[in-house]
Amino acid sequence: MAEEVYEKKMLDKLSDVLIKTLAIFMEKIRPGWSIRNKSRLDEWRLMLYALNRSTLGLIGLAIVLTFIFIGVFGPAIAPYSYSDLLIYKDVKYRFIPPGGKGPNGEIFILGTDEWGRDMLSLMLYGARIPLIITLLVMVIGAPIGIFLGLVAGYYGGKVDEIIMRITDIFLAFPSLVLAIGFAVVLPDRIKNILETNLWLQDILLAFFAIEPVDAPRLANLLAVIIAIAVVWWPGYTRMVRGSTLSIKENIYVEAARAMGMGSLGIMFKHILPNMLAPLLVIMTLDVGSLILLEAGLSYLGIGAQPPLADWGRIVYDGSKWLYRGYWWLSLLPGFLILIVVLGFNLLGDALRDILDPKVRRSIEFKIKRKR
Amino acid sequence: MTFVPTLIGVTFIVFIIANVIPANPARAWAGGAKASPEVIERVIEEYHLDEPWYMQYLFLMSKLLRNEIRSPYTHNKIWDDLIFGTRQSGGAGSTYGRFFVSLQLALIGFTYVILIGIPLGIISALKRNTIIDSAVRVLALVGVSTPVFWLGYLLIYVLYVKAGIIEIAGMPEPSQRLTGIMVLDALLLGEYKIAWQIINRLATPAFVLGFISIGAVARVTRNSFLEAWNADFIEYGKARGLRKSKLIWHAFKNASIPVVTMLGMHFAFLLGSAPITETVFSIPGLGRYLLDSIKNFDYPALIGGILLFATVYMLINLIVDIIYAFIDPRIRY
Amino acid sequence: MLKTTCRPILEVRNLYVNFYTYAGVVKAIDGVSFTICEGEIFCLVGETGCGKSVTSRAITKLVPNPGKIEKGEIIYYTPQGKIDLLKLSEEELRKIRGKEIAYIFQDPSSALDPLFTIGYHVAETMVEHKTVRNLKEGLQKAIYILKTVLIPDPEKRVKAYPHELSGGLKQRSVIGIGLSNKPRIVIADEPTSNLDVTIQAQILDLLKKLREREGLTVILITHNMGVVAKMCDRVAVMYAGNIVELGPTERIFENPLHPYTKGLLRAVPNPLIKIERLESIPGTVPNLIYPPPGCRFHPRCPYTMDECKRRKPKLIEIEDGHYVACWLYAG
Repeated sequence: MAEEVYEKKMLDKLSDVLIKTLAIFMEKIRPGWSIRNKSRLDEWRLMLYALNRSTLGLIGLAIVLTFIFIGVFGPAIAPYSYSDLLIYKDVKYRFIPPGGKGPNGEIFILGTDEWGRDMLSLMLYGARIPLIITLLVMVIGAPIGIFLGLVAGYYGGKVDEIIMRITDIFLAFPSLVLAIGFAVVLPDRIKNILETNLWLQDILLAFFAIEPVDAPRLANLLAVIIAIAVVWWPGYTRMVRGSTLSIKENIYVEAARAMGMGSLGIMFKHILPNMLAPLLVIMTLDVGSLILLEAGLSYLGIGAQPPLADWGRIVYDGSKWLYRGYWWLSLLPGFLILIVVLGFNLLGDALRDILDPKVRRSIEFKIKRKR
Repeated sequence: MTFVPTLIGVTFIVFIIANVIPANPARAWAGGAKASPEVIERVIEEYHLDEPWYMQYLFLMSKLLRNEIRSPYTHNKIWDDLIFGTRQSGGAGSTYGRFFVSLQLALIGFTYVILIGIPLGIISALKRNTIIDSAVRVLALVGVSTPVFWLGYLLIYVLYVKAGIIEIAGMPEPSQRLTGIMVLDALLLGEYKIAWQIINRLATPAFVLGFISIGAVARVTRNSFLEAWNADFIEYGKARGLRKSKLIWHAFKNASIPVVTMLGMHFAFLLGSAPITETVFSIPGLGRYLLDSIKNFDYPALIGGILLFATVYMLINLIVDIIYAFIDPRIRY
Repeated sequence: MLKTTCRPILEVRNLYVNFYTYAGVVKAIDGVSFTICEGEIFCLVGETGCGKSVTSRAITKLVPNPGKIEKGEIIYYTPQGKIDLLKLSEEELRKIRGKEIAYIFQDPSSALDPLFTIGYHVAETMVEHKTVRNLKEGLQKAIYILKTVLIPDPEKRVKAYPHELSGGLKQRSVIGIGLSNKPRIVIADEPTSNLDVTIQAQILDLLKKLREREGLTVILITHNMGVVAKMCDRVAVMYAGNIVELGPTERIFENPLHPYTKGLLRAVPNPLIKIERLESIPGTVPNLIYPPPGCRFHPRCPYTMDECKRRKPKLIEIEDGHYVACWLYAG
């Protein structure tokens, strides 16, 4: 797997280049932007420096970027292609341990499974589904949750009560259990909808890059996405509502209202930006939890179905061989999940630190003294 | 309080799930492809499957609440499966419903969390910024990142496949149900061997469950203790001449509030993670019941299971709220 | 008050306090010396950040991290003789804090532990210093103490939690806690800054009354010249970690010597002198990591001379009991 290692000083210069590019880009869209936002740009640069000083944060970032890379390009760089994996190979290829050699001298870095398939390729294929599902759940669930939280916190009164009551109902379930519930009963319904709306099915198949022959898996995939999204949005609503309630009390909100700004405007221009920092941290940390939830569902057999490759599912398929001593079938994908989630958590932790102005200042002083 | 309307809402969600269920499982419940038409008829009759969905829902709920409905798969009454136990006069069946097995598992896991997590937290607060502190921080991070099934299989591989120390089949239980906590009942009945067997069987899965929370609880304990220690009232206490042990007591009491809240959250989380752990270790608990009912298209059981889960979850949150109000005089209703 | 009638009870000699922060070493207290006479109300006045709070904390070695008392002596005069407080062990100091020297802090809301009743706070402090035998006795006595500080309905209030009381009542409780062990010195750090103006007056009156009744010595820290005029017998003006002027209150108000004091008095309405216009002092408080050389006020002083930039002036007596640290008067 490709991973590049930088020297420390170069990272700072890289950060400068990044910020400068951003500034140039924004200038083109809105002239005068860089001057108006100079102090903001300086703060962002300082944030990047702070990130560069946090070893764990950089490791997290590296892991996250690698994961995204594998998710997108995994199948392309896998040594053995997808269609090969479906052919039942020569018995001699089965259960080769990691680092072992095949009958023709090929080296299998991560070994092979019960079908003789290369584990390394399987791992590279298996990152895509978790990545897609996580992204989609974030893209669907988070905005809904945030919007509802803003509305509830801002308007208060009956609206608040209704929204919070609904949120509480969803939060009354353990996430996994509720996700299981939805993920089990939705596929059939979705299948019906897709079969009666073939145009929808075609669009979605293309979007997910799924072969038409595997169409039934699509319903399953959609069900999982919807199930997890349903379980996920209430957490954001509650958190955003709390933040909105306290931000709402600030004078500038009242001032904006006095100047005639509409409610939606206030919510999005004044209240939301003030909670972006902690929100970003929570979202990063949440990605880790989402991946775990998705892997859990797949492991239980409820998530993505073969032949769609998914790390959690691979663990399930390999678990029965554990007792024969073939540990790498199930322990390897599980370990990868651990690393990826750890990466997101490390990154989120580092983000939490660099978004804290006090920490940034102390780093600023340390850097300045060196200069 | 807000408990009741939420409960109603919960049943509504469950209803939505139930409503979305694939139509006509009668054939499957009657025994599959070979089922005779009369059996299918009987099944349809027993479960009111020929009525519109809202009637089905009402029927299901009312029967469920009175424990009169049987799972089409196990043929036991659902609440019996789940709570009361299916012991028949011949001695077959289990004394405890699935719920109590999961409860026992969660309690042992919780014990790990308290016995390991809190002392670790206090130590890392006292020894700030040392290796121990960093180690606890890493533990917390790794803990929250660990997939439950991976850790479970890892331990199974090491302790069962390689070393043969633990059991991963069967579930011993005491002969009578007294308090509902299996180990406690066994001890009360003098069935020490059974108590030991239960602990043996559940020790490893409970550790897997608890591992995730240990680090996080240690972190929260550390942070809230430090925050309390740096609070103004501690400085004022010093200015009043209070001795160190008194100051620690003040800090501790204040720190316990966020810790208790977090513990409550994690206990609920422990319970929610049950399905995976129970599957890995083949434990006949509530989580596995849920999953089995899915496999067997046993929708009444699924509904009952989800309902039970939600109710217990809500109860735990309620208890945490009550404890919270008890400790903190600023929150009183 | 003339020097001859002063019986010293506390003497600060040559106090230096540094704060070791990530930005550098803050030289917060830079050689401060003053004497406090028994039974007087002595004020430390100055802008935020001048070091008055730190000085008051340093008296019983309560300076928090990352602060450190570099050198100096705090001589405390007891009937048994003189003790240097800075040389005492932590345990010996603990016995003095809250018993002989009591503190009243600025924000009563954060000073009180929200999980305990104010009766408990009072009783706890008394039990700690063995003024009473146990908590039960302490709680009973607490009711009496709350009455002393004029808290209405003390029997009920003694069982109240801090969040149930108003700011004024909380501060009175804190005063009560401070007095519960019959201290000789009370150090009040901006006791009224967080309170409403009307409550301020009440609390200050209470302090004055208690001083007379109990024979206390009060060290009062404030940034408000009005409070100084009302309360203080003698006052020390602090700037950037130094005492720039020290003397009886009337003399300071009628004849301010140091340019900074003059600036302070010109910035607020003064009932003793007619001022045409209120003026602010130009410039800002200096960075104490890299303090200006010589006199720390010289960058903002309208009368700066060469000597001011080179050497720091010492406090010298100009008239009876009235000292100033300024090269304008040093001959």
